[in-house]
Amino acid sequence: MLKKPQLHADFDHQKFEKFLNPDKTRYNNLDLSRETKVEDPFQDLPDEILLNIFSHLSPYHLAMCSFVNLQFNDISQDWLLWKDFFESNLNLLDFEDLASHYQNKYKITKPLGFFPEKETQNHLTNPNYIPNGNNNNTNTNNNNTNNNTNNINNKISQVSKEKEKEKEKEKQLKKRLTEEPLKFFIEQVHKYQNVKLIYERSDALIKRRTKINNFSRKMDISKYHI
Amino acid sequence: MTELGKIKLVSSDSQEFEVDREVAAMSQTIKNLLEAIEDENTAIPIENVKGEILERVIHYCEHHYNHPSPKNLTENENEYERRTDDIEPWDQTFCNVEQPILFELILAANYLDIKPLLDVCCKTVANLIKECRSPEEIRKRFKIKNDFTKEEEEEIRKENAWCLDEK
Repeated sequence: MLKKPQLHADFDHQKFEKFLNPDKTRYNNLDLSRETKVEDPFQDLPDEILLNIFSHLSPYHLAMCSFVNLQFNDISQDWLLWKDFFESNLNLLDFEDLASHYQNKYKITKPLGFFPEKETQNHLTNPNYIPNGNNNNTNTNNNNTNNNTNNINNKISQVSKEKEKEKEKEKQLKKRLTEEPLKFFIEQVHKYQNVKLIYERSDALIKRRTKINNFSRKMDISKYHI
Repeated sequence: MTELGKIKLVSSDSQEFEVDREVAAMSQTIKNLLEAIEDENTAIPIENVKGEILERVIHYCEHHYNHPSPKNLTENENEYERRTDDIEPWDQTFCNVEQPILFELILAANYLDIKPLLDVCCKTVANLIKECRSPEEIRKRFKIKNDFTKEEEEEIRKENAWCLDEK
């Protein structure tokens, strides 16, 4: 009678398998899901959690995160993360210079919600504006007055065109701001020589922002809405 | 049979935990389940969470059930808040764990829908990011792969040197 070949009692199956195929057994013993998690913990996180994490970061760190990888870059551009910053912080006094710089640069006369409202340019203070009734050239003949009214009409249409242009620019700026808030912020920062100072300021502002009560906020607004 | 007012939770690796009903109801997911289930004695399977993590989550819930925080969660929801230095000391030590565990806690808190736990963990991760001084440091700390193309990388380097070099 043939006996079934029996293995020694001490025979170690695992060791034997390891000997036959070292790599395979190695991977069988490892928890692969765990290993991938150690590699990049953020990859497994849903976007809304990453948004939650990023919502605790200042613009400085958001900008830094955008240079980490594509996933971070994508999330850090989310308008939700920037909305509060642009809408509340630029109204604060510390950003007045920054905001007025942009007002001049983009020739904005109306506030965009985050820009402090300055006295809007009145047609009375506009040196180019020629009032309709009170004409200096009262002695001129009919032809001249006709020319004048033509001039006035031209100028009025010019002014309205300029206003339209401004409105268009405003729209574009607002659109850009909502589409690429991060780039906008970085651009802003680039225009100032002391980049780090601005960042530190923005960071400090955020910390201070939580302490500023509604009263001082109202004060700020009333300062600009003359 | 479970004790009165207690329910049984089973983790993905079939470890069983007996928890007060009220404590478990801090998880919105479990709360909803409990309302749907009539039989009080059925064990609730928590399929996405390992025993090791579930134990920590229960520990968190029990502590906060017994020590409700003085701050209300609903306060100042409209306030613009990006503070991360307001984590309670107990939560700080709770979150002071290895990175993989922290991220699993986040996933568990998300799955079980425990908002305060999720927020506290997210704040902790935000703090870890804040400690880094350059994108490279963030990559190193979390073992993140840089998947930008060379051109993109070059563009970033040109435009944002201020951020790439150390403060």
